Amino acid sequence: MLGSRSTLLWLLSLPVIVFTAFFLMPLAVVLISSFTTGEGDFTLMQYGKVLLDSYHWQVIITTFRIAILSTLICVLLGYPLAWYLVRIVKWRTWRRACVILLILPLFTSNIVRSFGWMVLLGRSGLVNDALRGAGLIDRPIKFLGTETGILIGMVYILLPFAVLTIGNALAKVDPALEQASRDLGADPARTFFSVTLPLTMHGVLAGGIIVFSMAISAYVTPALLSGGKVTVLAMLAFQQYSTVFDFNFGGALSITLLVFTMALIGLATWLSRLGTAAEKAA
Amino acid sequence: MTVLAISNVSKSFGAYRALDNISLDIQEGEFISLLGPSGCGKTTLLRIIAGFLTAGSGKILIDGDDVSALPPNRRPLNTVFQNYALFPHMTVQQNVAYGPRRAGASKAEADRRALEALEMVGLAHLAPRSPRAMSGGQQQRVALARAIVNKPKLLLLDEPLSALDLQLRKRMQIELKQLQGRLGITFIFVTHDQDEAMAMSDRIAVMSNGRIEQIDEAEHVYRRPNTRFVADFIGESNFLSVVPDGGRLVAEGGQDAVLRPENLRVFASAEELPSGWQSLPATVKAITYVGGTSNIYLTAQGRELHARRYSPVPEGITEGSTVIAGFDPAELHVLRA
Amino acid sequence: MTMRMVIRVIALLTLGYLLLPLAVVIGGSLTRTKFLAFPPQGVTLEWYQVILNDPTYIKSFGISAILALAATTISIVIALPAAIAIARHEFRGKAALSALLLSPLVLPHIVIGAALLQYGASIGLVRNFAALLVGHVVIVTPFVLRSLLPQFSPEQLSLEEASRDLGAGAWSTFSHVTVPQIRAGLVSGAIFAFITSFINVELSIFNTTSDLNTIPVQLFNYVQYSVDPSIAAVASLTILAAAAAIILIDWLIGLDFLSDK
Repeated sequence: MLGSRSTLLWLLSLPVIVFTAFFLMPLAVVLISSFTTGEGDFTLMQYGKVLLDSYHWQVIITTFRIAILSTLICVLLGYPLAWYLVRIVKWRTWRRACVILLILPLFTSNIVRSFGWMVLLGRSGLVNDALRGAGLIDRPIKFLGTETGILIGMVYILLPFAVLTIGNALAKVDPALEQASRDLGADPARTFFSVTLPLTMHGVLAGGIIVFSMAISAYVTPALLSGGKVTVLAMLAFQQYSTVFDFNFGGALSITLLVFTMALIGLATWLSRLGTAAEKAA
Repeated sequence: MTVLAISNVSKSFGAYRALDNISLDIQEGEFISLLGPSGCGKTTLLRIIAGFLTAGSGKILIDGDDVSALPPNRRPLNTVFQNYALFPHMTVQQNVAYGPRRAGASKAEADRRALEALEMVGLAHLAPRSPRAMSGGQQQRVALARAIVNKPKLLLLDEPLSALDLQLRKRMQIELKQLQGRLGITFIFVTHDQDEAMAMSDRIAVMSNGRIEQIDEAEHVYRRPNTRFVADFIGESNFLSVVPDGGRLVAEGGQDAVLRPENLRVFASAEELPSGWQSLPATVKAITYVGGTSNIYLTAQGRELHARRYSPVPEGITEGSTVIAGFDPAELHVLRA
Repeated sequence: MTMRMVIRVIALLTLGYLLLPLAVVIGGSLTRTKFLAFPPQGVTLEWYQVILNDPTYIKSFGISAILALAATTISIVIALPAAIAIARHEFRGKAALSALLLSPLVLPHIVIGAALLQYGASIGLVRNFAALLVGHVVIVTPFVLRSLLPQFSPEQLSLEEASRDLGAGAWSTFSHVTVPQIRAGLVSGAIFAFITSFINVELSIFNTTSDLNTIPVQLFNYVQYSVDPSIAAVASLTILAAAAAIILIDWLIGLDFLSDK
């Protein structure tokens, strides 16, 4: 047999080389340019431009509001759907059809999906027509170019990720544990909150983190559904690279987006660890 | 003829010495057990023979060829794993045909031999099934069929019966022994169960702390244990202190000797003692009955003694009574110093 | 049992919500009108004829497919050894390494794209197929790695030992025993990788040109200026292709992974 060391070297060389060359180094370049002026001198001015301007703060807050709301809605809608698919559907063919339906949007690009909503949410789109037809509203609601519109599109795009992650966790819960809880006198609700939910919490958190990180960095959906009226951080950063060509300021915006994303993911991970630790202590 | 020679094999994991200079010759067609408590090194030794571990020092020879440097797939032996390790993504037949296929047999030939091996363990009718859907006993037989299909020189069995219930275990012990007789393959059987080792083995190697304490026929290991550990691990023992020549009992300062409980008799009075027997006064602490067997627990001169009889306890011997414990000195086995 | 009904209703409504935009796109592509209408007014396939006769769409589609296939293949070559090392070996910096390899999953793609553009410009890796490929490999590798890691379990070690014991060499054991054990993760990881690459806009947009365009970037550029039924036809084709792909995968490996059995 091969020595463990040489096997390890053999296994790791390609991944490490590729990720150093095409991931770490590019990010280092962005980091460095975010701290330099156009002439190449060290400066904190780029970050000053980002953080001392109330407009940029407004964009940051909008970005986070959309991402957090998308995540919450995805989990709240995703859990029942996952439950339905794993626990309620007994007919295999129907479950298969549902799973196909669930992952079909994942196989189509953000554009196609956002495009569908552009049509649906328009002034005389199907949604407004239906609401008016039902007598719920008099004048059409403005969806496009609002955060609500972006949110509808974002949840739509990210929901399957939440459902699949939660569903996987749910399918792995041993039914005997729930039966034991019922046997020990807990009603279905108590059983859910004391047994099933804690056992699937890692799936919820994992799904939540995926959804959140995709929501905060989303570019296509907000760009298409905002009609230019709502701006998120990713759109701001992209402008600097594609139209303004200010790589230094763009770098600072990118790093800001990166830092905020990592901070929130770090927080979520820390909270879930805390939860696990509390469970163990209890 | 020696089929497997283990010579001066040692193995350490960090500071822990798992095997300490083991040497052992195993003859063709033998059924040998490696017996010992967990952590004694028996599984480590088996894994070194199979090639999953490399010995720190020493050699493994099969039919005189040094195989120490060969990977497991190039050694002419097969293993029945503790948890069977059946491939869950293959049918029973595919599992058994795996070995012949790797040895270069055509698919048809491998399938034919797989069926033949399954026939030997009485499972040919389950060939197309998935092993996941089978009972423990059936999985066991599939693992056995898979391991013998290539007709190895040596079959290693790593506690193969430990997951089965008692009834099935007893039945499998007999079947294994019969199968071994039919095949003529050398079996090396790892177990911590002394009854299992006694029931099946031609020879038993009793291991403790990385060393072989004794290697001998089952009956000899029981009747003439080399060490206190062997006497204690195999069967139950009364330890007595004796003067080496003549075997006279002494309170202390003598040499350790073993007396099996069935050789210790309890008498109501010294008159009943057969001539030539040795005796010591004792007090009955407790009497228990298991089936037709009665166990009498005594204290004598500060020692705990245990006597077993296969007939009813005579009248007059009850808990708390003072009695005479006696034995034939010929049954006393003096341990090597 | 009422809770069950509530869940059922929420689930079915949510499924409807997932289906609606796709139905709109497909329905809209069939309209006879010059503008996009849903429900469609009349039924025609003329919009499909329009786009199928447009060589730029055909070309972009080909580029996207080749790009996704290449990125997926390379990502498997990178992720599989990494997964084996992380799952089976102990070494210093293991946690850091897996964090590094998985981090593109959670980092903003637009940032990775911008970084690769700026860095690529300094080494000539810009606005060509290699530049696109490198970026896609970086973002899809974590998908494969993430699906592979949970597939490794200690029980497999004894299966692999059994295989060696039965005469299989290291490679033979890898292909006959290890790969079937991790197959589900490998396939699902590869699927996710392929799709992620195939539908990516955020990364590709930095390196595409009018000559070297992927289908999502082309659609994106088009949709921002006009919404007409020909776009719906392109979109529908991608939906139909996706549906065909999913049904094929389901038929090959079974997608019943939410079953609790």
